[in-house]
Amino acid sequence: MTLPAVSFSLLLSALKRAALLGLAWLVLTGGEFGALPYILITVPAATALSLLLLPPGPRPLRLLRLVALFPGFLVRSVMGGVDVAWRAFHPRLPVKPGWIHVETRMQDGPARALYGAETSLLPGTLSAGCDARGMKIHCLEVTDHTRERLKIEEERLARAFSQDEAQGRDDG
Amino acid sequence: MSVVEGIIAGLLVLGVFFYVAGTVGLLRFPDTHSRLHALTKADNLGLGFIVIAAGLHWGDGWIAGKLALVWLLTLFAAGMAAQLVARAALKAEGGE
Amino acid sequence: MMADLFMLTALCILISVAGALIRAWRGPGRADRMMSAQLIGSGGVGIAVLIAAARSEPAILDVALVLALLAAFAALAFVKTVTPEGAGDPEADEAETP
Repeated sequence: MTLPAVSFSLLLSALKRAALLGLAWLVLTGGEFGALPYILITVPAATALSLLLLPPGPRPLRLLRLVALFPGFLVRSVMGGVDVAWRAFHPRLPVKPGWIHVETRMQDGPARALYGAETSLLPGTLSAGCDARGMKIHCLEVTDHTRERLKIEEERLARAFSQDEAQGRDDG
Repeated sequence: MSVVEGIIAGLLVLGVFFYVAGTVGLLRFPDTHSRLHALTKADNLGLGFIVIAAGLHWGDGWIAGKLALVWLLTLFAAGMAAQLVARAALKAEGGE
Repeated sequence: MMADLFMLTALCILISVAGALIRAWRGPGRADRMMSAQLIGSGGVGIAVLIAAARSEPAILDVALVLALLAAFAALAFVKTVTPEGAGDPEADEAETP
């Protein structure tokens, strides 16, 4: 009997998504009292659509862990902007672009996509998606630290996405 | 000019700085993928500073929430779009 | 006084965005032109936020929100047109050619 377990996790992700969407509705309507009753229509409809378009995977997203990562991510993405601005304004244009391949332990599509998006906002790196050899990362300047930095970043995000320690990928 | 107004003015100047940095990078960087770096990182940082300035100026919690939503959405979209455009550009160049 | 400052900032960003049009004109690739359009999108979001603040008009924030959404969809549409069959799922393409 695996059915009850499956439906429980489905209910949990539905509740999580409904809470997020409800919050979005409140913010979008500016907390206006007149718009409040419509939440009974919009949130269930949006939750159903979201479950249909992106069914929850076997590894749940830990929202609180993700939120906890946000301040650090903001600081690093500011550094990313400063780095690009510095290179853009520098008279000699210090850009030596190159590609590196990075193996990733992110196993499902959404986790990998978010990891790629995060990478693209960090200093000097830009993700161009995955292939059989892992992720393709474009660097403004290939240095020895790039791989280490990406590894640390991946470790942080992998915990928020409950990715297991297992190596390789199972094409989720 | 009060202290808050001074901070707002400073944030606006920073915002313009990063927008201009994005444009300069888009014009000066040598290849398509490097330009994509400039577009993805600098512009959204500029928008971040402007959003904070607008939030301070307004001083309203709901408005601040909506401003945050605008910024989060652009950040998320920028990160995702960057990967997609990077892949498409690679493909257009005929792979690596 | 603050309203003027916000409007002045909006003007500066408009000029900066206009500069990005040079990249749309020169290209050379289709992706370069698309990126210039994306920059106009994020510039537009910034300008909308600034005008909303200058006029204390929250409705203009909804314009900013819609612009931000549209910019994301424009990038998606572009990627879909570039992929050969218009299917636009690069992961699937790569699975066929390992």
